[in-house]
Amino acid sequence: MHSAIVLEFSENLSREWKYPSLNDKNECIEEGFKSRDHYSCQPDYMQCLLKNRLLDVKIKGRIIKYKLLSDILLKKSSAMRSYQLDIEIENQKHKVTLIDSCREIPLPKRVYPFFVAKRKVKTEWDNLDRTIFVDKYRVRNWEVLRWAIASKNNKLIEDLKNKKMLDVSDSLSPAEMTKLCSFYGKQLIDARVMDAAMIFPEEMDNPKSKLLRAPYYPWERRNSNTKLYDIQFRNAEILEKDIVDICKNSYAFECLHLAKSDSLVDSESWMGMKEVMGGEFQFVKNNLNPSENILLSSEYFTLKSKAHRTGVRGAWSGEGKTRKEFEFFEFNGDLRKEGEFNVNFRCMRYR
Amino acid sequence: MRLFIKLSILSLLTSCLSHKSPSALESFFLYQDIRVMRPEKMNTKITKPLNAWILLFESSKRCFFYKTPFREKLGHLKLTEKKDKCSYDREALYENKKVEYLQFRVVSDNLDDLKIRVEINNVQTTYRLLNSQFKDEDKLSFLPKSYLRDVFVDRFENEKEKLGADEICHGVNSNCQDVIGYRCEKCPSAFYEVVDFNCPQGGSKYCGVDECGKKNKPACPRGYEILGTKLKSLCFDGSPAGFCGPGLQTFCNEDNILICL
Repeated sequence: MHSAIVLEFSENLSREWKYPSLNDKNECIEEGFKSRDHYSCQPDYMQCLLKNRLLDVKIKGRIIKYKLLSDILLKKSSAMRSYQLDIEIENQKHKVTLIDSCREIPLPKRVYPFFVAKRKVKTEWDNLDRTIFVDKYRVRNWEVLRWAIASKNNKLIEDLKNKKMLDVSDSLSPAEMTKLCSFYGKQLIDARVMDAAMIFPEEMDNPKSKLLRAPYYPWERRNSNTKLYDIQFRNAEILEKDIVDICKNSYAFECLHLAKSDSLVDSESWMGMKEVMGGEFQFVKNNLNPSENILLSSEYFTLKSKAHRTGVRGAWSGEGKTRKEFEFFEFNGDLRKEGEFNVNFRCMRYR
Repeated sequence: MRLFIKLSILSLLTSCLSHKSPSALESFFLYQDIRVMRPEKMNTKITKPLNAWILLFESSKRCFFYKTPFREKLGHLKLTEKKDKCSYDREALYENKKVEYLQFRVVSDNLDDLKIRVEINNVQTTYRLLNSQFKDEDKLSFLPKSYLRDVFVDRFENEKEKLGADEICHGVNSNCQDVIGYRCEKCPSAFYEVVDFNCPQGGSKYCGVDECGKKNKPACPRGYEILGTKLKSLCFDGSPAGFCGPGLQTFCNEDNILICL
């Protein structure tokens, strides 16, 4: 029965879409990007698999024949990101919709702290009557390319030709960031939401708790439990044997000899947002305090720097990558990498 | 006469007090991590097995038991504390021994806004489920398969007309009625919420880029729990219900939206 074949096909497709197996799929995997995170709910990877028939689907021991008839196209919506493709399964044409259920994550409904000015002035807010989804990952070049093509931005398309599609986007201005997020039905991430996603709750099982102590590190409630704390506050040495693990938490200056993309993707917050610290600067929209619009935790600062903490932000004019366009406040002395500074970002969605 | 006045005042006070704190059932469900223990009992009137204690729901701290009706004896709903595990013979935090009809359903058509609708006798109440459930797909196993799928074949798409770029996509009034039903998925790109009325469904929403906190733009919503107010309208000059950027304050504009000036 054809419907049983289609069902089997769609279940296999769903599994590979969300949990890419990556083995024997070398044609579709990029060098330097080994982690599954790069390929889950990623349309280019899926398109490559289907085009090259690298997805093996069997029914009762027999391989199902299929042929991709179109490119995988984005379907614009404010509710969710999805893609459509035309495919022939055992000589019958079908339209398949793939929903991106991997790259966004709900911000739990709770009361949250927000650092208004440095880590000195804190206020509270809650999202108990609202639904907010946060991008799990920083925006990638492949997402920028789709937007550039749709908005006929030839200059940007040209710029992207020299870049790896799975790399984090690093050259957009704040206005372009806003437009890209809007294209995907989302908003540029707000500093409040970023703080919420990064700051480990003091009382995890009480969403209404107003105990908002705000630990330093997104993955740990007790500051002293993490090696970064010892390095920053107890002057501990950065030992060779520990560096791989520490760099997974925050890809800082001392981590530059390690593969970046896969390391960055392991930096995870309490609610599952990834790439939380380290790497290049992250931009956040901050209308409540516009002079704090980039997260300072980055590869430009030493691991010893207290910039690698939640709520530590600097300023970017948005107008270029040179030193004069940035303000690092009391962390100037921790700067280790000079030259141009790159800024990336992520989006969020209200539902 | 004096006694009458005193009694009236007393009953008025008591009724005010009883409305202020959440009911025991509300406390059990609201924002709690609920496990549905008997998903097969969903969507039907719960009657079998007869005269038996059934554990219907469990949260991290409490248990929801129901003893089914038998002959002339009505159903018995009982909420207890949980100590390690649930046990129906523990002291009741709340009970109702006159349950003629009990039914529950999971409602909502999107994963991030699941609700449980519980009907006891003729009263239906809907409670939001904490969305930490999404981290653990096992807990979602009671949902119909279609909720969890992310691949659809030949799905019929109703190409709905899109709204205008800055159009209102959800409008509420002071009585928390939807004067414009939620349709924000029709926005051409994203949408944002404004601070106007203090409603469980949130304030009104508009299509467009969220520029909250900037001068002449809507204030950024602070959230209803933090405010802890019963005021119907959150829009008045100086209202703490919204955040504004440096040097700006909240004002209520002629559309009853809290803006920053």
